[in-house]
Amino acid sequence: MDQEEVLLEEQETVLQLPTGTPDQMAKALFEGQMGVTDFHMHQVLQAALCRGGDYADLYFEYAYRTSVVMEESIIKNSSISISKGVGVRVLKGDQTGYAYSEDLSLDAMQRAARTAASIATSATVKEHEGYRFNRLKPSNYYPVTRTVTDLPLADKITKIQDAERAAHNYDPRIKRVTVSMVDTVDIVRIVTSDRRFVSDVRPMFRMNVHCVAQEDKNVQTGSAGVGGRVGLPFLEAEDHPNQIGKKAATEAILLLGAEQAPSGSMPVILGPAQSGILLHEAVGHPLEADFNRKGSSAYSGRIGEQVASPLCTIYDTGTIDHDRGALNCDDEGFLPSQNLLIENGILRGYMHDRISAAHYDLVPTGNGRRESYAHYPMPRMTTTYLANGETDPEEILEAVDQGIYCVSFSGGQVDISNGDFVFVPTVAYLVEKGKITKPIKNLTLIGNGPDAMSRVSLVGNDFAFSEGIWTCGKDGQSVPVGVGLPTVLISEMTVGGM
Amino acid sequence: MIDQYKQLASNIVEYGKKLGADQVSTSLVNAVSFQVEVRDGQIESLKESGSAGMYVTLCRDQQRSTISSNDLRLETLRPLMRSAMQSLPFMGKDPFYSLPDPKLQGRAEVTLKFSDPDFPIHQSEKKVAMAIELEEKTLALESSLRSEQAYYSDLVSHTVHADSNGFLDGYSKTLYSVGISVVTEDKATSGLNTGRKQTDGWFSSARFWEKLESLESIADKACQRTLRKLGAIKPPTCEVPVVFSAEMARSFLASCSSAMMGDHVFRKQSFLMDKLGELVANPQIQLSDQPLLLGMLGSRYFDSEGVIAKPLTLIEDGKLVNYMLSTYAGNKLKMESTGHAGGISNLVLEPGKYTEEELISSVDNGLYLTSMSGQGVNVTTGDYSRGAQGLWIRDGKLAEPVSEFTIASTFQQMLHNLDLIGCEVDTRNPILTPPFRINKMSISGT
Repeated sequence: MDQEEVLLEEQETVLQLPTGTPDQMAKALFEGQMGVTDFHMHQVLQAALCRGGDYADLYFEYAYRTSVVMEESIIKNSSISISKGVGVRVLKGDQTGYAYSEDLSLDAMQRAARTAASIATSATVKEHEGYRFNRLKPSNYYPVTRTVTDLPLADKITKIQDAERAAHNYDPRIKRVTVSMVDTVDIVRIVTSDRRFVSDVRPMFRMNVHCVAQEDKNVQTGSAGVGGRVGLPFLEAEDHPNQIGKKAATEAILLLGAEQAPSGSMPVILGPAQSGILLHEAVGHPLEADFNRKGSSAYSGRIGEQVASPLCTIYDTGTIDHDRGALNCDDEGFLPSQNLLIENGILRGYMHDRISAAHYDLVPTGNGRRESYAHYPMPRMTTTYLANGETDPEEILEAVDQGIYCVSFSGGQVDISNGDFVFVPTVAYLVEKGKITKPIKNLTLIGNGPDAMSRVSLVGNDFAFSEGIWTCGKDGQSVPVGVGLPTVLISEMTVGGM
Repeated sequence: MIDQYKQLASNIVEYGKKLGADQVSTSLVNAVSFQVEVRDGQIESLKESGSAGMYVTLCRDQQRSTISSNDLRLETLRPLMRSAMQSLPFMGKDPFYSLPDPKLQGRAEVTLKFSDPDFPIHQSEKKVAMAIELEEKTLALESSLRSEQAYYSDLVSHTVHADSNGFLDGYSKTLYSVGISVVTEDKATSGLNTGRKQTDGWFSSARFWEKLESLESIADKACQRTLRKLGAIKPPTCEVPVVFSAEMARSFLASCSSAMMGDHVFRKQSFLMDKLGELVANPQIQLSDQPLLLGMLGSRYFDSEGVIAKPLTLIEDGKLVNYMLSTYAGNKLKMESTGHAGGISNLVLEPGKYTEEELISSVDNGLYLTSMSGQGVNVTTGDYSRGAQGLWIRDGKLAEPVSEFTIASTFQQMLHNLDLIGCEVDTRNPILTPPFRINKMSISGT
């Protein structure tokens, strides 16, 4: 760096994020500020197809992330992070060539394109002159004019302090509280050799409280969060900081009095909303079509067959307003739809990206997703949910003589091939003679996808979507997802306590 | 590359000081990677990438702000740093934040060899051919196997760290991996899971090309590990001894090690807090962190704050003797940094004298654990409850495969009940551990 004169009074912010529609914002950023014109994009696509690839696409991304963390009543850190780049993908049949560049100069992008092109070695190269891009204008499921990123730091800190105070005020046994607030504005532009051209601006807000409660030698933790593809109106509408502060504290205090969970097979009631994790693991992942294309899923080749109780109708969709799993377009530029996965227990469809849809000769379902420009897309869930049932949740409780009731979860995992999945409750209770009794801790639930889903014996009428807190990992790529579920009774499941 | 990054790093530190920061530190990372996945003799995907990253922490008068960017141009970095400086007055004062004591900083005086000078000579064609050959070799072993994917990947990375104490150093590392996963049809004995399959695989990974395991050996292990899962049943709910394969031992020790990290301890999020000097494990257990082992994956000269790396005993004869501390955690706990900013280097459980076969034959009725899943690990309370797969042990011999059950205990009990330690160490990751036996855990199945 040279000896530049530094003036702190400049009050310069890093980069003024442009305003307007997603398309205007992406244009102002990638074309206006970074100089990537339509002509450049043609040239890069041309370079990508120079070895005879069937198809190529470019994924431009600029992500601006701010975060503030409070710990021990001190605002410990604020951070800003910028990540930008372009991913170039070339397809030849089912084969993928991929490269990316963080430098958006024409030279650097063409270099990446030629690397990705090397997947194909065909003698015949199609000439792609003068594409006229077909500019898509998708619906906006998360219009946000004022993002949390726009909120002055001092105001963010006030919200954070509110959450912290709520947690401490709940109970003197709350010894430590950590609060974080993270907001990202992710601007993407997808351009394809079959002329698809679409831009999206994806806000993502997340606020989280983590508490440690201590009573003598007994230490327990609790956490709670909120978020989604939301902006400032979300924070203004309700006192979320207060609510999650209290919720996290409640969980930690509750666990101070929890007993070790039982073990063995028993009925399991899944409370509404968060228990949607069950669907995500038990049926969601195994229905991602890449596993089925490769024939490695327990559900491969089973379309039309009974794979769950007739009470189960399950969807995946990116169209839930402001949900953490919402997407105006997927990361291949396809629009989201309401995908029916299981209808009254019968397997109806998989979730597809471009490659798997072509393999099955179907229309892509809007599930082609990637973590960032540095990753190629694959079939992923968006928001996965089980449709509402008819039973009063009280009746579901009364139906259980000895079992457990699960409220919140830390996550889950599945083995796609044999269908075994686990999910891990953080707040759960014993159910005795139709009543919720003692809180329990240290348990994992394990089941087998089709078997567990066939034992869904009652479905409640209290459907709810989970708070926007879930992140799904697959092959080293993380993406935000949503889940939803009414109260559900699984007549028998293995509960792993001590 | 390292010299260029050193120049940039020292420029960043100087600029930070000029902006009025009294403490500045920065890390720069550059990584170039190659990855190919093949299936049925064809390339499924081929990916090449080069990426850069920069992290800067600016501190003035105990107020701190950080930035990161993958755009390392000065015109991006300067305003980012200015904007970070402007946010400082909003930060709380944290008296525990500081750069390391300069006396503790530096480079260990050894040669660790974690960069393969031959890295550039391996051509893409050879790498692709290697993955294809691994797949052919594996599928040739057993006709019922299908390939999920075989892969080859490599990585060369350059890291530089600098701070306003005057620390400025960097290193390059190489890493090669090759592996395969295969799938085969299985039959469920009852229920709706008529499409049940089993999958498993094996991989090798090393800093030097010639240290990679032979393809024959990888193929053989991938095949055996998949076939032995066929026909798995759900075991009964019971309490039995569990033999952890080296991979599962690694998973257990990884969680244990996080309970020994200073930041978990001062946050009261460790079942090992307030336990220094106490017997926390079976007296046979010797556990240490060893950053200076030649050619091992976690080896390093200094930690991510530039604190010189040196060996550290963690558990000696079952007694907890040290935590692993960064400068910040050290300040919080009124101790000195042990050079563990950024985590463990090579975590070493001292091997015992038993082969894995001997561990298995020591068990009349119990479990040989080969896979765990789920997040049921709580290092604050010590609770441990995981989904599991493995093979049942009957009369000291491996019998039928088992799946769809959980194992549970607590870290505290498991460390005490860890009573037999094996001798064969898995070196494919920075946790160097042999298999071991835990003489009692709860199994929840039928």
